[in-house]
Amino acid sequence: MPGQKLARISAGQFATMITAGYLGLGIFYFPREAVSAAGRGGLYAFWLDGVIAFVLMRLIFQMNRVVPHETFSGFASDLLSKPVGYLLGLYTILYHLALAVSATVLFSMVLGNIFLPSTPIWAIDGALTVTAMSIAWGGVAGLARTLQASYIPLLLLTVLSIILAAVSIRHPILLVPSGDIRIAAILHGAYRQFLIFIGFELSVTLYPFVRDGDQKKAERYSYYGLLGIMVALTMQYEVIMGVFGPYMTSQLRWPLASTYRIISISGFYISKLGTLLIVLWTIVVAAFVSVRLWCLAHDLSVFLEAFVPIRYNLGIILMGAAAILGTFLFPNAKVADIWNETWLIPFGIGYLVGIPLIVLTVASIRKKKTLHLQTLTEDGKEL
Amino acid sequence: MIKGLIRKLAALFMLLLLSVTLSGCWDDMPLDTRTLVLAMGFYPAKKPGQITVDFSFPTPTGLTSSNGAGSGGGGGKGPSFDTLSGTGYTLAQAFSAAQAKTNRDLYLGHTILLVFSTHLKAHQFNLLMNALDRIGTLDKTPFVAAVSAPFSKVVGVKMTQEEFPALYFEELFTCALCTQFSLGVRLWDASNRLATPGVDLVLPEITPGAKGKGPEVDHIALYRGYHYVATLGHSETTAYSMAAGKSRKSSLYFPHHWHAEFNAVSNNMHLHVDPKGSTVDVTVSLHFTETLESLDTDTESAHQLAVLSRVSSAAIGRRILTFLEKTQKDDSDVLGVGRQLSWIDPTAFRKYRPWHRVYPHVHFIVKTAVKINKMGDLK
Amino acid sequence: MWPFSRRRNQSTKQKPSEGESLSKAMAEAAALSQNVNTADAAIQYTSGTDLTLLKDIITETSTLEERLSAFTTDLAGSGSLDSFSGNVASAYERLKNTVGQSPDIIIRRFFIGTTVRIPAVLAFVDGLTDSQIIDQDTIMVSQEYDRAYAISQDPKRAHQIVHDSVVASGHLTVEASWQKLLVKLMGGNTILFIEGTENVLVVDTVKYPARSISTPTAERTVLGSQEAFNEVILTQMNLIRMRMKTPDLHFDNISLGRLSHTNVAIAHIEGLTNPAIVSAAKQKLAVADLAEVQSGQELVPYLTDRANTLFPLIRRSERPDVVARELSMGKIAILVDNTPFVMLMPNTLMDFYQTIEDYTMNSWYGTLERLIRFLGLFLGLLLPPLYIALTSVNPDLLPTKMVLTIAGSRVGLPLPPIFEVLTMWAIIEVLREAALRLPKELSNTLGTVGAIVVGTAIVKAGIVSPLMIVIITLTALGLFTSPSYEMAAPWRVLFWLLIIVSYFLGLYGIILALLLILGHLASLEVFGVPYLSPFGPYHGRDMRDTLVRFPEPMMTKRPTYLQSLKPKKAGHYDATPDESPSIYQIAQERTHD
Repeated sequence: MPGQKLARISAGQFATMITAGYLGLGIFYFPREAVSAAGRGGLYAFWLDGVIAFVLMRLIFQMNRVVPHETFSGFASDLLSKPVGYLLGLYTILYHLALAVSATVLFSMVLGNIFLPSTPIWAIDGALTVTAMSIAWGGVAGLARTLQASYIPLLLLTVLSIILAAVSIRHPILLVPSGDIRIAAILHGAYRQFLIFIGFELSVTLYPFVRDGDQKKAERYSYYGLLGIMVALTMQYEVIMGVFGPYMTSQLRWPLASTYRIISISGFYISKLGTLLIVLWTIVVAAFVSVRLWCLAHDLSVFLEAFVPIRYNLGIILMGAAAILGTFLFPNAKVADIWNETWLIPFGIGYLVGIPLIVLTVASIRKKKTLHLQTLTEDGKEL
Repeated sequence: MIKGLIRKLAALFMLLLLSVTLSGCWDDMPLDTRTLVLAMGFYPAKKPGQITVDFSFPTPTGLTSSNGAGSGGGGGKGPSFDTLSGTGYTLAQAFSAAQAKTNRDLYLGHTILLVFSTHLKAHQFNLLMNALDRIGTLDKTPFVAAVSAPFSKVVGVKMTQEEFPALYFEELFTCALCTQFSLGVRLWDASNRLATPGVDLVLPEITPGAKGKGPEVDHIALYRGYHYVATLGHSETTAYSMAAGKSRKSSLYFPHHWHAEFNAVSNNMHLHVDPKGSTVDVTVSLHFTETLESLDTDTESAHQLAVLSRVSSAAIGRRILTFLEKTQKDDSDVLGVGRQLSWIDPTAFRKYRPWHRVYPHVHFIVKTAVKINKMGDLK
Repeated sequence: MWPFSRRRNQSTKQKPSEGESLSKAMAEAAALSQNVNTADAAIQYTSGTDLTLLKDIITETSTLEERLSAFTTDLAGSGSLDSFSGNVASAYERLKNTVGQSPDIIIRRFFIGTTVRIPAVLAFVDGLTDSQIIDQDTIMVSQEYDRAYAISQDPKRAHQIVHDSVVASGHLTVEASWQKLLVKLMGGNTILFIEGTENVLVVDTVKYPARSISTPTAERTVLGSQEAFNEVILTQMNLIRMRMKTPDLHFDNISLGRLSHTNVAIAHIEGLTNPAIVSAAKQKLAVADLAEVQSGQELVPYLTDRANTLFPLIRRSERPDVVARELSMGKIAILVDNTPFVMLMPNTLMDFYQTIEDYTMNSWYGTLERLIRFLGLFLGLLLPPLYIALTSVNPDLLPTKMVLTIAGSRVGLPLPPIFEVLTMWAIIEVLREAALRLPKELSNTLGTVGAIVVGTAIVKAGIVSPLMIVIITLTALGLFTSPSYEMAAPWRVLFWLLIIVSYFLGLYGIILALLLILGHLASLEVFGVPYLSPFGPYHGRDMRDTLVRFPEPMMTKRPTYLQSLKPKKAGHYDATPDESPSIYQIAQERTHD
């Protein structure tokens, strides 16, 4: 950020932001994709996804360590030559934007369908994006703090929701892991379900903001975060399966929302507590989008530095506007589905695998340049 | 200059806000401008292919009287609830037709009871369930019941215990301990059963009571897929509730064995399926607990209890087996044998397709165990 | 401020010319005075018009003349306009013609010594001073001093002799600059000029008219101390020092306000409070160029970077025990003269929800109190928006029976819920404001009458539902469960935001608005201390004194966010008999009974 003092975040905040960075998009499809492909073996597909996510996270952190004090968009053009750097910068920006648009559209459709049927989608989407923009407005420190403060209550609510939904489990037999293991189906399910883990690639931008000396800890915490998500979602999976069974689950458009919608407590102020919980998932989606917007604004200012210097806040406005306008590309939920399937997953996985490999390979060849980049940033060059 | 512009913009914004606020917008619709549909009934219309949907809702009179005292208007004499009907080829058409008859928004967010006529054609039932699953405002938690009598006889009846009949049925189905059998089926449960192969739908049937009495719920309606098959009487319903592990407050009487009477018979059920060649062995294991309510001897002996336990377990087993054979005749897999198989051994289940050809030939074994846990207060 | 002070800094070279110009001006003034007098007589003779204005001019000019003559004496004696020349007569004139025109300033001439008589002048402000010190310990002992001969022998050391052997007052200082002398005089000190010496004695006779130490009104407790600060900064310091006897407690004094010269003291504990906070506060206050400081609120924009935020960043307390407690945590306190509220900083949001009451009772009670406060905040902030959201936008969330009840209570009402809320809120706000302004006796009556009569009548009239009365009452009370008065204000404003969003987007809007508020809170900082700490950034240990108050033995560390130099607050308390058997000896002996 030109002309702006570099704010620093702690290891815990880094892990929170990374975790917030991937959950928001796939969560509402979960576990439909895995179950429709692999039946009761869907859990294995999901666990496989978790392992893959862990490996890719390791890989991307390894890449971040090559130039730990500079964002990827900052050092890409130096390390990988200018055209390649610009190309990758553009890829990063477009991909993050697509993720943000897709997540807000999806959530707006879920919410619009069950909660605000007469409200136009753009209004739901716009309100969400504007909120996300305002959270990201103050920069990384404020964003990280907001996420920390809102994620802890959400965690409690998630546990509560799992307990509440677990009451509706009709078929405990479904909780036992299945012996039905079909490798091809599981791989297929894992591929389609991977959407839930796409998004932690924002660490390429976030990594340099971690306090000096906290990097290792930040990485470790991110792994813990992943583990926590795996545990929570496994529980969620079990509840959904126990309630609906594999056939119904693969037919539900948004299994998570459907599961919450059957939670109904008689004798409480709010009887449809599940519906309330769906609305509270706004926090997850807003976090997902605000982290994205922060990344986008940052990358945009680095990307455009050579042409026009733009401020971080202008970047936020531009990207937020782009995210709102992007909504109009999606007339209905099915289009969003198809878009996610055909574009976001392959490009996301491509990014997650491709970029670390390229950077690590080039860094091992151009050792001198890498060393130069490392010392340059340590000398206090502004990011 | 800029300050003035900001002030003008702010004024404009305020005006805009005020006008929007005054005109009402989007989802903002106060409760008193909504017709709160509490129950919906689905019937085949006179014209073939069409359906009639009945919407039961509380009237302002009903609302104020249920509230004790309203703050304004209302208070007049009149029925506390009313029914609107709409007819059409689809749910949406019927809905529009009904909406045309009221000045308020027909609001489905508080629908707590859906009744389906047993005369509905399978494809109509299918269409309706599909449409209901897609309505966003309609929660998936309303209770579903079958009826053969007209809507006005079952849900349009004035009740002594509850202001609105729909509330009566909701409480009846919600409270597992208040009823003899917990027969309540929620919409999501029903659509789940309809969507899952290897299991069939069983709905409680609401029957109109004798003259001057409220409707009763002690029958069940069996379905095969979306086809209505049969309605079972009280005795078979008891057998079903036991077989499905849903019995709560049944009682058993053995006139030939010391006039023993058991009360609060409750049980749980475990289903075990074992594919054997072209057929499937199904073991239904049932564990009952009963309370000994009366006995013609003064005190019971260990021998008596052993005999009673054996006798009641045999009697229940026989009854359940008869019931299951009846469902096989009707080809309605009420216990979800096929579903169980599909979970345990999906490849075997795939071999048995279509399941409805296999189910009538399934071999049932009913194992019952009875535990007499309470002996009454004094003795 | 001294009218000629700007010239003080000019180089000595120019002084003769300054003197010349002064005497020239004096001559002109005398001539002018003469002319005016003549003119006056002439006009009076020719016409009968009102001549007050002219008379004023005449008085002013003659005063100016005398003042200028006193200046010239000073200038001639000490070579500077700002210094006292040692000439008591000129000092008298100068005083008489500058500050002496106010009736509360007393200027008195007298002689030191019985045999040898040395002229002296003293001046003080009547009412701000202790007359006993002036009468007995200063004037009387001076007049009866029998060795004044020594003073006459060495007039340059006169002040030293008087300081050492004559005046019987505890606090005596020496000052030579007129500018400082006058400020001290106005602050309640007595200044004593002695013939021959350029040094002026300043006797501390300060005795402000002060309220006695009363019980706290804004922060009441049942079991805590019943003392509150009064307006006098010295008393404030005393009250704090009574509770903090450590020599490390420092009060750094600053005088602020071009006109008010308000004493402002920054209190902190040396070696404990993070010095960065102390120096930042000093630097920020140093640049504050204000005309006057009356309530301390004027200083807030200088002390915080985000002065335009809704939320209070500086906590004000009238309780010395609260201030002492916060100082011991590692905060700083800013004492402002004439303000009975001491400013504490840096704060987090949580600090505004802590009271001394939480610590005077056990932790269970403290926790309960805290939770009730947050329940109050929740009810006050969210109940009306939730009412709008749940009755208009998302009625499906409520239980069917409750919806039927609400719908029943709304039958026949002319207004939609949002205007019900607006109507009732307007009534409540007007009642509240009126009750605040009225005398105590009336306000109680008004509150009761307003609440009961208006409430009942408006329901009878069929304008709002009875439920609304319950909701709005809870709202009005809920927001004021916040222990600090200033914390209720932001929520009362944000309430409107929530009302509007709940109208448009229902519950979803409320959640978004709460996220917005959270985001804003997270972005606030005071001296680098995050406002939302310990929730964001998360500090697990600091959570022990937030929503739940842990028992004291478990809170042995100071808050992390203050980055105190000594993080440990209390020693580890061995609560088990194994670790410290001696403590448990008595208990064990008793068990043998």
